[in-house]
Formats: sequence, C-alpha cells, structure tokens
Amino acid sequence: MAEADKVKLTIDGVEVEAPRGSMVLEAALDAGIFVPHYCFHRALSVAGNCRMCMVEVWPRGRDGKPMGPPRKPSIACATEVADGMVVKTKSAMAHEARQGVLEFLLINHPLDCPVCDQAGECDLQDFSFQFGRGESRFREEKAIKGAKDFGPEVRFYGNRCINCTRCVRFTQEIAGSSDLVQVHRGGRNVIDLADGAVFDHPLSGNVVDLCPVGALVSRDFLHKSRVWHLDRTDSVCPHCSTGCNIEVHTQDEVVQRIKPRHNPHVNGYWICDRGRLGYHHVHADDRLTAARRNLGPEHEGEVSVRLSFQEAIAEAGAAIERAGERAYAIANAWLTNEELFALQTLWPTDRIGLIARPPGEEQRFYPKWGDAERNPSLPRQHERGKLYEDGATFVIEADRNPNRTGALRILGEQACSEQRLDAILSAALAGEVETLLVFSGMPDYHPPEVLTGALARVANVIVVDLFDGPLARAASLVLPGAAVFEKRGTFTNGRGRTQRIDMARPTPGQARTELEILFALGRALGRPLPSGSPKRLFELLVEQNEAFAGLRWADTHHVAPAWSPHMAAARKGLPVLASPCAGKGGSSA
Amino acid sequence: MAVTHDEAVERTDERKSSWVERLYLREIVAGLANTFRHLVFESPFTTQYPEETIPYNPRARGEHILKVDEQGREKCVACLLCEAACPSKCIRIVPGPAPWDDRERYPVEFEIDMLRCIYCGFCEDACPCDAIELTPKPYTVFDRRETALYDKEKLKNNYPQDWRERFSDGYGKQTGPPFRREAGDRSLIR
Repeated sequence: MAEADKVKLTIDGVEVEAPRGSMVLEAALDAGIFVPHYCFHRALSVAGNCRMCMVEVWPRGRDGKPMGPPRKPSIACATEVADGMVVKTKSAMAHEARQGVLEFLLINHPLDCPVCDQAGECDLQDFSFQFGRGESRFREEKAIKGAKDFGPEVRFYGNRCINCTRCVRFTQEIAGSSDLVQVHRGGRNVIDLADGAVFDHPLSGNVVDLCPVGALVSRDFLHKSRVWHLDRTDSVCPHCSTGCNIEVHTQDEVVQRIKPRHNPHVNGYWICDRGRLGYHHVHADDRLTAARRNLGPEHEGEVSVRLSFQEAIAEAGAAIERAGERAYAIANAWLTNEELFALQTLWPTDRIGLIARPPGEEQRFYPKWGDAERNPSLPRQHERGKLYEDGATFVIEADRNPNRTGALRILGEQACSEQRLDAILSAALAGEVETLLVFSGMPDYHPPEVLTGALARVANVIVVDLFDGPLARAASLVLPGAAVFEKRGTFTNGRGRTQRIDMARPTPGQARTELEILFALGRALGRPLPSGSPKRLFELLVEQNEAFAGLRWADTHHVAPAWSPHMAAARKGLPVLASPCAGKGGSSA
Repeated sequence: MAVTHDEAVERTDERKSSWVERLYLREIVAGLANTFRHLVFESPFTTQYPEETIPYNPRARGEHILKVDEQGREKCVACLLCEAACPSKCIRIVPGPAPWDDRERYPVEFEIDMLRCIYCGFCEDACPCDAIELTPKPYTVFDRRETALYDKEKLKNNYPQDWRERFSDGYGKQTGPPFRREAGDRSLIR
C-alpha cells in the first residue's frame, strides 16, 4: 500500500498508522488497544447501533493541530481515521459514556446468567464487569420478549438480546438468505424470523458465535456444559475439502462442541453446520474399541475372538508377509498426509487404491446487498465479508473428504483413480488377492456393494475402522482406528493448503491412530518406519515429495485470533479483565 | 552476660519451709473441700455423649442440604458456580433442560463427595439461587466409601426435622448470633 493511502493518528498517546478509509476502532484493535464493542464485526458492515465503542476524538483543526476536547464522544466503529487525529479511548468522557450505554443495555436484560449458556464467554458480562456501573437505577418492569427456536441449530432468547443486529447482517451479507429481521420499535425491538422463514441455513450456527450475548445459543450445546470447563484444541474440519479451521472444545475427553477458528485464507470467521455438528460420530455407540478376529460361518455361536493390539498386529503382519505380491491396500481420503506417507513407505504404490466419501453438492454463498446507489458505502462494505475472488463469502466444497489432495500428492494420481480401485476389486473377485488391508474410518461412509462383495472373496481382510459397520463385519481381522480429533498430522485442503490437526482427546479403549498401526505393522514386517512422530514424518515427506517442498511443520498451524477478542486475549495469556480505566479519572464500579 | 544455673540458684532469696508446712496438710484439706463443693453444690459440666448431646452453633458448617421449593422440586438451576467455587472439587453436577415449564435448566445429577469436602461453605456463598446450604448437622460417618457420595435425593432430604430439633435452634434461624454456654448450664442439653 502506498504511503498516500496511510494516515497517522494518535490513539491513547500511541502513534498509529492506519489505511485511509478504515475506522478508528479497527486502527485501535490493530494497535493492540482494546475498545469494547458489540455490533462491530470485521467481516460485517458497520452498523454503529450498540454505542459501546464510544471514544473521545479530537479532530484536527485548520492549523493542523488537534482541536480541543470534543463536546461529546463519538463511536469508534463509524468514525473514519484522519491525519493528525487524536483519540482517547480511556478518558473519563469515554468511560462515562460506556457506563451509560451499559446501564441502558441492562435495563431489559434478565440477568439470568446462571442458566445462560453464554455465561463465561459473554461480552455483556465482561464489559459490565470492566466498564459498568455495578448497579442499576431502573425500578420499572422489564420488557419480556420470550424465547423460541429459530431453526434446528439455533435457539433465540429475546430477553437477553441487545439488538446489535450482527445476526441480521450476517444472514444478509454472508449467508445471503435474509432469514432474520428486526421487528417492532423502541423497547419492544427484537430479532425475529422473516415471514415464513425457517432458519435452517447451512451456515446458521455462526450467528451463535456472532451473538455477543446469550440471545442466540446453540441447541446442540444447550445446557450441556459450562464454557470454563472446556479445553480447546486447534484442528481442521474434516467434512469437506474446504478445510475450515476449527477449535475442538472438550470436557473430560468428551467433545462438547466445535467452534470456528479465524483464518482469512480459508474460512474467514465461519464454519458450516455440518462441520459444527460433525463431531457426534466420535462418541457413536458402535465405535470399535478392541481388536478382534472375526470367525467364519463354520464357527457356530461364537462370532469373534478378542485380540490384544500386539496379537492383532502380529497376525496382520503374518498375513501380509504370506501374501507377498498378492497383498493389496486400500487407503482413504480421511488419512493424514503422514499416515499416507507411512503407507507409501511400507507398500508399493501400484498395489494401493483409494476410497472416499462420494461427492455432495457444492454450495457457494454470496451476500444479498441492498441498492448500492442509495447507500454509497456499500461497495466498500462489500469487501469486508468477501473471502473468494468471485465475491463468495463461504464455500462448502463438493468433495466431502479432507485430504484427497494430500492423497493425490503422496500416492500419485494413478493410485487415487477409480480405475485402480476397480482393478483391485476385480482382482479380488477373481481370487487373485490374498490379503487386503482396508483403511476406512470415515463417518457416514456407506461402502458400495461391489466393495463388500469383493471383500467376501479375499482370504485375509484386515480392516482399520472406527465403526462396527459392514466393512468391519466383512473383515477377518478388525483393528480399531482413530477419529480425526484423536490424532495429529496434516491435511491438504482442496486448494492445496496444508494445515495441522491436533489431538483433542485420546483414542478410546484399544483403538490406535492409523499412524501407530502402520508403525507397528512396519516393525512386524521387518521394514520399520523411520519415525513414529507425525512431525518427523512430515519433515521427511517435505524432503522427499516435491509437492510439499519448502513447507515447515510450524507453518501448518495458522495461529489466528480466536472467534472472540476475549478468547484471543485468553489464549495469548493476556489478562482478560484488566482494569482499563485505572488512574484516568473514571470512577471505578 | 549470661547467668549460669548456679548463680541463679544462689541469688534466689528463698525461705526454707518448716517441717509443719512440708506436710501440706492445709493444701490437701483445701483441695478436698473444693472437690466436695463441686460434688455437692454444683451441677456437672460434662455432657454424657452420646446419650446426651448439645446443639451445635446454628452457624456451624456441617453437611449440605439441597433446598426445595413448595412443590418439592430442587431450587438448583445447575449453573455450576458452586462447582467452580469449590476448592476441593467435591461437587459434580450434570446439567440438563428442566422438565418443568417455569425453569430453563436443572441438575440431572448432583453429587457431593463428602470425603473430599472441607466444609468451607464457598458453595453456599456462590449459589445465586440460595439452593445449597450447609447445615449444622455434625456427623459425617460412613461405613463404606460409596455411602460418602451423596446424590441429589440424599442431599434433598439430608436434614430432616428431628435432626433440626436435635442439632440447632431450627431451620431458618441460622443467622442469629453465636451462642455461648455458661458453666453448669444444662438447659441446652437434649
């Protein structure tokens, strides 16, 4: 950006450079000066209706010097930066204004924090604590606005709403559905569904993250836990090849919810509802937790023999050794790059095939903007939520697998082709395959009949799977595998970005990650892998595979501010509730 | 300058007792008189525990009770603040949507591990609904570890009426001043 496009202003005595046309609030946040705000969001248009970000702005006079103190404070989110501007965010005037705003916001707020799911990550709680008066002078009756379900994922508590309209703007500017609107005026002003609408939009869950208070809450997470109990692990959503950055929130090793993690290069601030709710398979009832040998139909009564992990690996190794050239492997597009690399190291790639979940419908979302002629700031506002070149704000890819690109890069195009899988299956049907190692473990994967039919003709079928499904039943040897949230490694998304996943919970029972299984198999076969560590394997992969050249393990993790400024501060170890007005003349609450 | 033991002994200006005094007859008689005075004229101070008990201070902190409303439903809304405040982490609550229309959430399970509890009363302080309270019920006696895990039903009925009468001035009078028991006062013994 050229020098002319930058302006210099002073915020709290700090000289700050900001792009021309940006707002004071953005400049302050970029400079690490926190100004409380509710309605402002970086990906949404500026509404300026919560009045929480009041600051003292000294404009520049004709002589080039800042004029005296203003008569009243201004909102930082809708005040454009200007050269020589002086902004005071912690002055007595700003503090008093915030106290007043908060007192008004709390007039109709039910203060039902004990039963509210937002408690603990609520901006209204935090800002009241930091900037509020501490008590209300309101003696009249509070307005009652009721609660209702907006859709399958979102529940709305009208009483808690502060009318910031973030959710309304989201449905217009990101989701493009305009499902939510504001109705009524004054004290009865409330968010509601547009006429005839049901809020079942694929992106509907994001309004729960956007809502700064507990007005919009997740029905999936409703009354399940308390946010201060949750452990947060950075990961990547496995449900399509977009590869949205997510946080996995667990309590006592149980996944409680999925939240988006901000990554401007991939998903912005959003994830879709499929990804948000796509963790339930981790705790499915039919998860495999022990290795077993399935007995054939000739054994009456007894169906299977339970094995220890070592026994199962020894049997699998012996079966693969016996088969020699007649041993084949089927990988899947849910394996991490490291696991695929380990498989490629152990197995000749001309005897590897690939299964994947069938593609779904590609969904692209565009904003639904108003009349640009009547609102001259629209073109600029439009830029705020744009994520893709064509103006799309979010894309759900058709490929419902997280790592098909990685498989293509590591195993090669031939191994990932339909023809290779067909060739392996027809060889199996012809009885030419003695041992087949199948990696499944994809949730909502329904194996085609040609696959299960082919497995029936193979003497030794070793299946690594999450669920006790048709593949595990067709196998002769079953090894329990790990879900995506239970392993470390990297995925390469549809656009070629390699991103890290981390272990949010341990594998259940005897289940092992596919990497551990491959590592143990390598030892059993007498061809040990160079390392069992995902990081080391990734480094070896980068050395050996040109498609990954130049990547570093550290680069695969995009460290971004979390979805809430407070969470971001907490994650960085900064004090979340620092007293911002100490010694500045503001009366402390 | 340090004073040695010998010097200290030398310096004491002690009169030697006579042989009559060294019989200690006067002291023996005075002591026996005191004993007989207590035996005859004064009532005993000792409480014959466990046949007799004295009530605990109404503000004493003993076992917990989960309070209930008029319909017998627990007042707790499962906000988990007591769990957060608990320094010994002895409270375990599983929240869930309430089966009643007038309530958002309620504790599906509520469990206190009495072996871990240190009776600090922080849970009572933290509770926004006045739903948990420490009673003066003093005995926390178990024969097995499992019985030390108090569940929701046990906590709701943890302080029945006869215990109230036996161990305190009664339920609801727990904010009075701490009482003092004078020597010989048997009025409180039950």
